[in-house]
Amino acid sequence: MYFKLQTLHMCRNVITAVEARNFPPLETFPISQRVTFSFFVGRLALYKEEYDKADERLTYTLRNIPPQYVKSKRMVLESLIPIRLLRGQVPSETLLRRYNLDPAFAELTRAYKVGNVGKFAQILDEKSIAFMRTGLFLVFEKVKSLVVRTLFKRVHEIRGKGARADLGDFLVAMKAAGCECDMDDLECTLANLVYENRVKCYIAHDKRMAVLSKADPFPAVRKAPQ
Amino acid sequence: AAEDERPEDVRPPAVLRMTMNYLIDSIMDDQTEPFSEVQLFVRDRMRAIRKDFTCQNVRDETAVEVHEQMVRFHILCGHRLCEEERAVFDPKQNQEQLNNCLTTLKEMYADFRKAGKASCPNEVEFLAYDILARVHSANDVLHACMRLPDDILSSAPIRRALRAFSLVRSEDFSGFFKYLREAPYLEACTLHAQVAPMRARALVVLARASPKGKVSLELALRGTACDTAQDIMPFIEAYNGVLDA
Repeated sequence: MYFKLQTLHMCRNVITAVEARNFPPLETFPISQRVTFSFFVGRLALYKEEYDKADERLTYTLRNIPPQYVKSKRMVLESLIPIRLLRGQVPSETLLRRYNLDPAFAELTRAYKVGNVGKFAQILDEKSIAFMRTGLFLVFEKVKSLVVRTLFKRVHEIRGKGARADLGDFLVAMKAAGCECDMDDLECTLANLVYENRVKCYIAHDKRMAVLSKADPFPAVRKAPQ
Repeated sequence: AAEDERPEDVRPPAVLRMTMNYLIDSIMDDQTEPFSEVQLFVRDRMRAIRKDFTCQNVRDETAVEVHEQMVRFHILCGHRLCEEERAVFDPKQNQEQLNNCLTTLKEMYADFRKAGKASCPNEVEFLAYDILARVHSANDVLHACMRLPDDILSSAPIRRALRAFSLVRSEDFSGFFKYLREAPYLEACTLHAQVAPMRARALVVLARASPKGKVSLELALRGTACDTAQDIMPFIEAYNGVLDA
């Protein structure tokens, strides 16, 4: 109800009451109510960018919805997919089809997998209003930087995984992926990725080169940023 | 302090409109006084105007127009006087008054919509300022946006504001400074508060990704969009050892 009213801060009172010690244990309530409650706790955690908690709650919700409630499962998946993308977990096309998810999710997933930065940004832009309303805007924004990381990783692989990377290559790749950016933007993006431990390298700005770490310059995406 | 307002002292909307016009036409551009003095005078007069509107509970087109002008003035001052001493210009107070005006404005816009009247022509401009002023807080921005109808959310000023939000969120300092350079003046002024944090972030991030953790002056200037070494000095001093001397 509070979600419908868009007064999310009021939800906290309800949740606090339910999670308080003197409230009857959750197991005494029918599973349908627990699942619904769990869903909203998960969605709220998503708004507050508590991704681990959101993942846990939404996964629980998904597992406990009987298979025939496709629409309910879809609702949960819409929130769960971007959270899992932050962890590098990609939904299969089968899954997306089975639950009839909005085609945007499939397109975003495809763009994510190959590092198509321009396409990813374009879809986000088209869907920005819808995502704002469903609270997915922030999390997909976070996923964007992972798409860039994937693109850079591919460039690195194409160039034979050398220790030195020409920033010009990355720039060409960004432009090829439909992203309008110049060298300043590129250095900024790469430096931010380094800062967030998504890429391990040093940038030699004057030489327009990146010196990549010998061991695992593109660490696997496992932990969601908090 | 609650003064005894005599009914004959309270000015009707038409007079308030004239007063505001006078402030704009004759006072604000006064070159004979320092702008900080002008600002103090105008600020107090504007506060009095708001008071008169409020006590008459007037919320018509005139009120909207005048409040919009006040918001613009506060935004302008926030930027133009940012280097003044606290005694001369208090940014917090200015921000407070800006927020008050903006809140009243938003209520008036909502009233207009509810009454089914034609929406105010400048509504999106000011809703955009509202978002830009809160760009540092994701919660606030989402909260502000959630209640806006689709036609407003897809308007150009709001899209620009959301793009600024996106840039700030992703710490895209390069994109942010480019955005600032091209943004309409008042929108850029509203983002003034983000400049220093972005510059700090640029320095820290660039240094971290550089060999030896230091940046050259050239890179520092470029990354922070500072024009001269002098502009960047406060940041360099705050982040000791980040500059490759």
